[in-house]
Amino acid sequence: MLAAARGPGSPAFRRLLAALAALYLAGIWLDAAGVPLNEIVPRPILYFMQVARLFPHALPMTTEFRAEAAACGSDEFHELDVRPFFPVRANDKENRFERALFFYRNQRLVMHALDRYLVDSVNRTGAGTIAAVRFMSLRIPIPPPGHVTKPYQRQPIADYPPDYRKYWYETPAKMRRERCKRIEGAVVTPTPREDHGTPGP
Amino acid sequence: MGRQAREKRQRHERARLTPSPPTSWHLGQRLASWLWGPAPIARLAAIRILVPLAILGFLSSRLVHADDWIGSAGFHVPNVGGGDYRQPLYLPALPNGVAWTLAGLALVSGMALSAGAFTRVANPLFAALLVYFALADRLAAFTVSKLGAALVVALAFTPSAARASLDALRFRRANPDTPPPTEVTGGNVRFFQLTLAVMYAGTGVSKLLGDWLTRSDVIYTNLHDSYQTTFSYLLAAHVPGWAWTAFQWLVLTLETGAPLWLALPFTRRPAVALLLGMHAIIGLGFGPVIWFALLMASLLLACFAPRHWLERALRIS
Repeated sequence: MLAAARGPGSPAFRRLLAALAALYLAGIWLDAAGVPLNEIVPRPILYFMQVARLFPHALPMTTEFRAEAAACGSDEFHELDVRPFFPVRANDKENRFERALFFYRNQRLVMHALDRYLVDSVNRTGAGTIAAVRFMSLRIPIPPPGHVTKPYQRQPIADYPPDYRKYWYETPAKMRRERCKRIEGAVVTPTPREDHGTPGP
Repeated sequence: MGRQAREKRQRHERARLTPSPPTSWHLGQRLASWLWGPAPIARLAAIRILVPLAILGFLSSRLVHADDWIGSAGFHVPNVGGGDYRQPLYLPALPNGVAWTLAGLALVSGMALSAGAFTRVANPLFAALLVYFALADRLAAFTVSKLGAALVVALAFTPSAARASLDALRFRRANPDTPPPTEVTGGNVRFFQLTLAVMYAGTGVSKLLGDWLTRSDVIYTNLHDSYQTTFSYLLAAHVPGWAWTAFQWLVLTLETGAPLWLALPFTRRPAVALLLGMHAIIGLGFGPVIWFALLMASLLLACFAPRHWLERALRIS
């Protein structure tokens, strides 16, 4: 006679598992239905229930997050290609720089940390020193159906009209002054202004 | 043994194992007997084989940059305090050596789970690592990170390696007289079937509450960013606007009604075929979302494909 395979644990333990499974499934459903569960479910657990809200909204535009950098003694910002410093899925919006801006663009604590990470990373490459960064989103209109003429391609910021750009963060003046003092006080090889902030592939 | 005889024997076996046979008209009793009655082990084995592979596919782009991802080489969001929904739990970056070790362990344990080798160790280890990865870096975590972790945690509480696995092969060699099981006790498969149905229905409800009833171009507007592939570009360029609206309604109907379509025997196969088609379009059209599409398609096939297909594919008889 064939026996059915059983999972580990006593019947009471299996009943407990079934109850937990029911709570998990109820959590997925309620979160998808917009019920605020954060008051009753601990955040680390709720996080694993937040899986079913997929593409609920039409996108008003295509959004890309980008960075610009400036050197000491210059107010001119140039595009900074951040992809070498965020190698996980560098070329699409799962890139961790894009995700950091997506989630935290209004949170100064995180933006300061991102600023420090980028400036330190760029200056370590030896391709030039930068003292300030600013982060922006490019808000690119979506053509109406029937009017798509070319495939998506990442283009330089300069190729987009100024009104597509929305700035979210710029290195505070005080932080920039302190950086410049450190940079100018350190023994560094002077680099031409044109090279500043354009490392990467 | 012929197929009919085998099915008759399986029906008999199922009837024997079901605690309260579904003879009553009472809906609650029928539901309970469905929930707790035995289910084909082929479904569980298929989940164990396919789900870790889809998750590892998703993780592959993270694992190769483990030092940047969970190690201290890359950018990490600082502790923003306990009340922030974007950071469910703050976990500091790991030393790079530890990050690489965890990445290696995830790869080995995930592959071992899929093969059904040393499953009692591999499954809890892979599950723990997935939970850690999902929590450690919110920036690189997506639906696959969270749903995948929950599925693998659930697998750890099932006899998923009892068939179609290296563990089962070793057990059979050591116990040649013990007949291998063809079914699992209640709940082991039902959890995954219900998860899938709840996922689809939840997604459908979130779309109903979003823009899907008021805008006819929701899918179209999602085709123009860095997720775009050649396939989705061609769709965006050549599919007329009315077709997007029709496709939108089809997706909404399929997802919102999924529990019903998957429960009714006469709608199950068309629903599985259409949902697989939907996942194929998502996988081909949205770049890295292919891993999510593969995860869902794997789960869909394992949970709802005809039993004899799975048994034939896994050589379970």
